[in-house]
Amino acid sequence: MMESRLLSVEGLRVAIDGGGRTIHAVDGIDFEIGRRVSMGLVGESGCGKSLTALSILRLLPKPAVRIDAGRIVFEGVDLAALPEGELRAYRGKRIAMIFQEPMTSLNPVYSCGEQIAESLRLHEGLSRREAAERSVDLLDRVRIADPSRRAKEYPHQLSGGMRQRVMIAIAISCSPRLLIADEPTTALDVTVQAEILELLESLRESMAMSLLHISHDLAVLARSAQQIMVMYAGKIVESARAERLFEAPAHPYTLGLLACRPELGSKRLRLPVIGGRVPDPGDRLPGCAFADRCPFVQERCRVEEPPLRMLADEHVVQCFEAERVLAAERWPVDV
Amino acid sequence: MSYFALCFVALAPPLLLFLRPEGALYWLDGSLGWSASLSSYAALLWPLVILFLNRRHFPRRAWRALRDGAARTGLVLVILLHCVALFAPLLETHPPAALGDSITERFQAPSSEHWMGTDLLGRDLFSRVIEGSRVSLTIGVLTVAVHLLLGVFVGGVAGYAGGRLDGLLMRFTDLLLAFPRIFLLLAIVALFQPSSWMIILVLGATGWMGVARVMRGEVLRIRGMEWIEAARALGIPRWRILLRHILPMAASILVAQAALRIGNVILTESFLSFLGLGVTDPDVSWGMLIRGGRAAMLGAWWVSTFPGLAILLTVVAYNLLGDGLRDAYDPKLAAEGGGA
Repeated sequence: MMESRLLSVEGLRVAIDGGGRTIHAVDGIDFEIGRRVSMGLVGESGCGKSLTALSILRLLPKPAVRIDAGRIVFEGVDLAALPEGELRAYRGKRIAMIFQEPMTSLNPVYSCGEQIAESLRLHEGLSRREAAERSVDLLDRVRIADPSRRAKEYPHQLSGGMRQRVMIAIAISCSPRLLIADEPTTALDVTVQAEILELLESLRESMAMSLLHISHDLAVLARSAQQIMVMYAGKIVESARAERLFEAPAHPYTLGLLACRPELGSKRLRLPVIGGRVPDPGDRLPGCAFADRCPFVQERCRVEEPPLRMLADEHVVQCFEAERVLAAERWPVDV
Repeated sequence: MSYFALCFVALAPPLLLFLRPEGALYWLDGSLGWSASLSSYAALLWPLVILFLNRRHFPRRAWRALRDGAARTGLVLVILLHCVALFAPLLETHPPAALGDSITERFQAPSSEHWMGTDLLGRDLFSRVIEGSRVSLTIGVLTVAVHLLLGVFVGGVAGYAGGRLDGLLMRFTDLLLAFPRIFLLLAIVALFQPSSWMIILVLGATGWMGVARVMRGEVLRIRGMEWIEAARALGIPRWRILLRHILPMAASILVAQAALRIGNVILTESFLSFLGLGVTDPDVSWGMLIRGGRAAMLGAWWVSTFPGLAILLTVVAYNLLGDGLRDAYDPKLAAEGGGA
């Protein structure tokens, strides 16, 4: 009987050493990803979402950034404790990753076909010819027209959307169980973005893999993710099924993120803004990291850190005032 | 198209050799033997190595470099010089080691019989200068190959590993750089039996530090690029990333470095040979020929002058080529639309 969990991250802390001090950019997060699930991770720049993704494959830039504590259990193996040599068998084979910038994530000196073939030859032990044939099939699978011609082309000959498709083809080449997509559509135009999201979703279904989709944009995740985690200042502040999160956000930060999305047909002339800025992780005060920006803030929010609470089935939030937030219809401080 | 043209240039000499087998025999029989045949192989391999390392963007970049008249002159001269070395037996008017009559044929001025005159022992200087090109170019090319091997290894490992190993390797490099090279050379050469192979080893082992520094800088630059991170995310082993993903990107700068270095190494070799610590008989090098004219410099000026001019020509040719390549690979110049 296979476990229903694919990946579970327990108490992960990522430390950054610099300027004589150590800060925790990811500060004790826990989450689980099941099999064949699409999980979203949302948060603003610098909240630690990319570091979370990189630490799963231990790709953190050494030596300044390191995993300080926690376990990353993938199919029963703790990746955080695995020697580098054994970890390589997971990278690209069972866990693959897509990066934000398709412009710079492909090596300009090799053709697209060669780059797909490289990981096939490495992990699957295919011969040069077999790998070349498979890479054409893969290009076809990511819906690139005329794949045998495109396989011979170099990255600079392709558009941004096509390069991202090539990246996806490389990522799925060894049929990974988990695909981590770090802002896969941020650098693309909106129409291409929709196509890529749809492609990722259909590949996830057909290849029976799980997807961890990282984005700063809730609207993007609304389309693709079944479950969404909201990250703020190195912590996961809310996690729920996607429909539930959009209907009943329980953390003020989530409410704010939803409020500042532009909506078609809305009569408001200005979008609401979450005032203030993310606290510097170096001089974080006790209490809730969001307290300074929170319209629901109470005395105790500044004194002690709220615990994670289970509000409903699969809906977890880290806020004392979650009930008030749930009751509030919209962001209370409209400009 | 240009790729094939260059391949042809590189492959033409051995093809011609098949057409003139008697030339090949003469050459293998000559006193220089294997050292000379290695020179020709080095001459042949050199453009092939460049082409291989840079096969992706060679044609465009190279032609941009060669649009510059000076660089093109350099390339043509370099190819010519290597052809001279390769076909030395066919070009020599006299056997280079044949002694002339010690009374009537010593120190003869240039004439139609002896185009560059004769030396102390009545040997034909023209033939000896041609013969000398083999040893001098072989030493130049092979020494720089040693520089590249050591420098790329040390610099590549230091840049890619980072941390303590980087510090250790680069401080070692600094240490060697700080050591006065000439004394080191003289000490080593004085300790061992001088020979062409010894010179290549010694010059190679004492001159790679600049390559290591350049290579380390390049690796640090390229290592930060996203496709390297993407390659790591695919589980590609580190040595493979270094060899397949970083080295080809650094190759362009290394090629320019190599071309500039060859001229320099030939100068150093001449200097050692001039002091009598380098190439020895029966091998012939240009520095050694200059030494042969030292005693009679005022009376028989030609004995030192012609080999000197050969050195000058070679060094200038390699420097022109190297400068042109370096400019072509300089991203700042490239941004201005390829320059002149």
